[in-house]
Amino acid sequence: MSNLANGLAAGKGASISERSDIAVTHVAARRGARAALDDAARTAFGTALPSAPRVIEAGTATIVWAGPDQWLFIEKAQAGSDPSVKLAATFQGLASVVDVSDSRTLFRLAASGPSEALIRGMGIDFEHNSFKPGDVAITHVSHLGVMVWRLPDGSGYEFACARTYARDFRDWLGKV
Amino acid sequence: MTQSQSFRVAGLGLVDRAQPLDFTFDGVPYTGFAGDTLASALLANGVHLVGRSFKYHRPRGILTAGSEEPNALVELRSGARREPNTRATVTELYSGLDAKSQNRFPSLSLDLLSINGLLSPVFSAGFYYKTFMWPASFWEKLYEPMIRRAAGLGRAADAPDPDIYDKANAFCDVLVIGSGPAGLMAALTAARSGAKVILVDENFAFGGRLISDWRTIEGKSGSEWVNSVVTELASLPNVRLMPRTTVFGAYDTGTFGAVERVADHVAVPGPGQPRQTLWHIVAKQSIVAQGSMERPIVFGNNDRPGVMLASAVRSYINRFGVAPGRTAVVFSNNDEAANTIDDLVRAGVTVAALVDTRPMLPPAIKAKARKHGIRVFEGAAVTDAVGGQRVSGARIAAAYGSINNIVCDLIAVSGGFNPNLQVTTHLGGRPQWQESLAAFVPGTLPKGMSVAGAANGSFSLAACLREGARAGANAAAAGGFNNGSASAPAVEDELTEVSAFWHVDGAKHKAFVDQQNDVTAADVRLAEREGFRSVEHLKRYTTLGMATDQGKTSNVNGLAMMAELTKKSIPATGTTAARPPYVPVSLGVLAGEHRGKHFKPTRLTPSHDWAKEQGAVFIEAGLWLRAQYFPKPGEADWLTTVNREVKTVRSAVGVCDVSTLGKIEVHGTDARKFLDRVYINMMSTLGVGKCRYGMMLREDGIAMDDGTAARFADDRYFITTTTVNAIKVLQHLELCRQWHWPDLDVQLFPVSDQWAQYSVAGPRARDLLAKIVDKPFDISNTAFPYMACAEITALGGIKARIYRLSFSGELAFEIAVPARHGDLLMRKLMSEGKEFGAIPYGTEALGVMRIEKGHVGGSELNGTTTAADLGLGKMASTKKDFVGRVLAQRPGLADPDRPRLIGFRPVDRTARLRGGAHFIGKDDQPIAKNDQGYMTSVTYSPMLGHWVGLGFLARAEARIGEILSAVDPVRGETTLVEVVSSAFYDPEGARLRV
Amino acid sequence: MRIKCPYCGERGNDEFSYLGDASVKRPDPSAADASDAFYAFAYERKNVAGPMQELWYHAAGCHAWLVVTRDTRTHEISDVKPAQDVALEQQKTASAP
Repeated sequence: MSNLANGLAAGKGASISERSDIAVTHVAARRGARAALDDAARTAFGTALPSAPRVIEAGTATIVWAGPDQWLFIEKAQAGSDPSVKLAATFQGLASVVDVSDSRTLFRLAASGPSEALIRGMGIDFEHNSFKPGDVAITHVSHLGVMVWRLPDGSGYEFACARTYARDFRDWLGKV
Repeated sequence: MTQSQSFRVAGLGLVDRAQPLDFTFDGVPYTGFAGDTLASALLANGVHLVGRSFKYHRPRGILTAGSEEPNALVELRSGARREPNTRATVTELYSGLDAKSQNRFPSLSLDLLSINGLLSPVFSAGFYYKTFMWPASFWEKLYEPMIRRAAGLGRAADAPDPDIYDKANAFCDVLVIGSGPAGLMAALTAARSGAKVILVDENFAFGGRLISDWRTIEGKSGSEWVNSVVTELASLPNVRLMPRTTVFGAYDTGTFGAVERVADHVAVPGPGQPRQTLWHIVAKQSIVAQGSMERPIVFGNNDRPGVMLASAVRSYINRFGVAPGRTAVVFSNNDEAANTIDDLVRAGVTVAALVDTRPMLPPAIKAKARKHGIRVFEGAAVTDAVGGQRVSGARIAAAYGSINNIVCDLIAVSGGFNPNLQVTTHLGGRPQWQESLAAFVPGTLPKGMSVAGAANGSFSLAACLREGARAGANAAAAGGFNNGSASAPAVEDELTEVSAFWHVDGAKHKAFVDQQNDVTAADVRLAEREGFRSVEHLKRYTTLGMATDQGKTSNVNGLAMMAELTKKSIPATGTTAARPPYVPVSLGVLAGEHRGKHFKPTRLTPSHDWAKEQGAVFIEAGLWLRAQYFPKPGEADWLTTVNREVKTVRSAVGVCDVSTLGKIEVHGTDARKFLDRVYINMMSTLGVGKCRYGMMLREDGIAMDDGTAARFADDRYFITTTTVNAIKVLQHLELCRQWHWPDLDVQLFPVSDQWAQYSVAGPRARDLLAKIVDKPFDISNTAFPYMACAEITALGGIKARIYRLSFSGELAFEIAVPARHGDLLMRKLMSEGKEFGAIPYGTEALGVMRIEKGHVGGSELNGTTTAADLGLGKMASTKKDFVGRVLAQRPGLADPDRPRLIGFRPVDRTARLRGGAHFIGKDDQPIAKNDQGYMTSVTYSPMLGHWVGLGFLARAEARIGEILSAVDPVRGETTLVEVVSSAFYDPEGARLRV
Repeated sequence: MRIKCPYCGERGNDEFSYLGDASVKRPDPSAADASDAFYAFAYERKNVAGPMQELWYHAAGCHAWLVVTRDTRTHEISDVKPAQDVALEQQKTASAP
């Protein structure tokens, strides 16, 4: 982290943490099963799945839009239970389900709004209220693919990047 | 000793006299003030001679006060931070600034190469083309070094740049480029309406001409008014103010490139502070308000230090409080410049003459001149500047031909104004000639762009303010912000008449059109005589407008002169469209932080730290670092290590990290159909719990990638790609899924990073893995035969996958666990394997073993080979269609004479083989005509005790036993080789099915 | 240049990779003239001066393939559709009686 980055992060009172206690499951709708999948999601999570780049808190799961007809389900990891297995059962025949807990690294940036460095660093508009609580974007920063969402309660941002890019992404994140 | 600032004028200027700044120029110490540029500080100290010209080494001074400066280029800073061709006119003065003049030898005042001026016939237009044609060998040895020595700009630093550079993004509703009266009004109006506004100015101070000209707005001085507007803008949360920022290019869809000079105005950037930042600005609307640039009139010796644009004279007086001379002659063709006499008088400079090319000056100007006792020449011209290293007089041809020599040390010249419209032409817009202004004005504009003020050809202050306000309101309204009032402060009207005048006839000395590239009026005439008449030819033949200033002060003059010579109109002769960048941009800022180890990301495998502990040597593979080999103490060289690794794998067991393989989950009810269509072989027939080697082609029939497919359920496959093609294959599969066969029910999940995967190979591989996998999984050959796969648990409950795959030709397995457990699994494999003599092996041993087995790798999948070339033609199914099937049957690709993969060994078994060598008949000449193929992969085989190679050879199968020459022209080696089967080791494959 | 991804919104062209003409479709491999048709599909392209349908891939975004209608003279983009929707529509039209 550069000194400038340190300064900016410190100045904003932002704190960055890696989320290590979670299970991440990638869910993709089967062809033609979207409506039925939403019904199943309503039953299991009390909500349909987001159709636009949004993130929803649904009980024990955070559901993040991850592309057309695709979502990441983020849940607390629990010994002896595999959320991806449970999701596969819940969505049997309606969606394909893959455990990607070790595929992606998640970072949380606690901040009530975007810092100047975050605004500058993102290739999409983050200034003021352009990126609202609950918004999701799949983009890249500094040659690194990243998903970012603003926590629905407005308390911060989360970033997901491929695990082997996390070292470099952490460097970048140090600046924001 | 510090020189006194004897040309500083008391009571004038915006510099901070409470903050003196020391600096040196060519080693001589001087003092300036905060708020100075290097140019203004030099002038304050009476220094006009600042450089030598490009070709003729003529003494040069300061022509302008802005970024268009052609002459005052210096080397700034020293050592690793030395920066050539820095324009003194935009270099903000800082304490300790250290600048040197450039292109002088041995010193600025005594330049021996100024003799080039006497050789000017050699250096005239087209000299490169005419003079240095023969003999060719002279070019490199003599001409080029000579020209480089004699002609040139500054010297770049010869050490790596120690500074950091940043990149940043910004989004706005309205981008305002330029902060003169039009830009400020535009920004203010748009900002007040609530639009998100970015205001950029290349200068360190906002205000443009308002801080350089003596103006009054609403009872305030120009600079006071600027301060009040900037204060309001700074207070608004929807405004981003960006001084020291140059928009260098306009790109499609409202995208702009800009460079912010964050720390160019300090000696060394602060800790962690970037020197410059590259901004990528996305603007829904943009307003170009970059003002205008004054153009000189071309006359004899018009490049002498002391000849200065009239607007620059006013800048130095009003903004910097510097008198650029003691006695001035004003030479112009327009009202605005003629009014410079007011500023000169105010600064205490004697105005010896006002020379105007127009036959009749406006009475108001004439009266003013008379009041100050200034001699007026109407319908007259300065034909030549007198003096060597500094102007000492002006030779004036009066209306009726009489010649008057007037003593002066400053000639303030103006040929009118060119709207500063470069940015409007970056996307192909063509400027239009406007006769009444004798200037080009912006033509068709890119979507979302408007132009206001002098940049639009509206030169009066009143018009600038008015147009700025209107442009600001319109741009905001386009974004839905309608509450802005477009009213502008009223100011007095002014005279802005101009009469076209480009160059003076009857000059006795060289008259320069392009001062930076030393292009003279005679060069333009020569180009015309020799037929280079279009503006593009003129430019290339004479180099007019091709220097670092891109002809900002010269293009229109050159064009007008050519128009005169060809008796055509200016618009018929050409236009002055520009391409980005508007000003030179350093490569450092374009690279940003992506250099050195940050050039690209580095991907590490889950057991990287473990490998490091073992002393592994790493190699880059795409973005990955992979363990190449694991040297043991006492091993003399890498070959010793690799030989040991290979022999251990083939006799005991070895573990290789193959986590870098691309991995994709292919799910869905149509996954099997889908895979049949993308692989050449059948995947739908693959049983659950089985894997199969597969090859994908490009649609043109060439091999794209290979890997394995494993089937874990009816609707669930897992496929691997080569390390380097992972992203390309996913993109291809997504195209197939979304575009070619959108009706198939298939979902793709890239999971390369999910799994840590290890190849466990060697006769004891099963023994080792039996200790790793959890019961009751049965790893026996019967229960888990060659090409089986399973989802299991390992190490006491860790989710795992196991595949019976072999790249080495040995009994082998690949075992995968979620990445977080990769390090643990590697350590366990090593500790549990101790009793079987297990070792880790790297990519080098992996490569040796695959060549020993004749398996293809990246060198064979090289983008020119088909499945048949690779000896895999029989794999292609004839029962189905697949990508690449039809075109692979083209005669050219199906030709049986195409070079096929085959093995080679040296006839002399001690000889070394070389990859890249070409096969030539052993009695044939080593020429292209006799080329029969080439070697792709070579290795020393520790099992066979000699080098072996794979390569492609025409009609290969029929030529086993034939002796050929392997010619390596790069190393100058020729080796006799024998054609052999590519299965060098265990050709029956007996070892892998046990 | 900026492209409005129908899923993600407007993004810089640095997020996309370009493939080319979207008016050529993979031919029927079982047709009698398949070899000529595939040759044309792989190699023959019109050099359009004006609006052209092109395939772009949102590589750094949602991984959607897009059919982008771009004027090759001005880079003006008049339409962006998911390639999958376009392809499904074409299949429907082709199979209609």
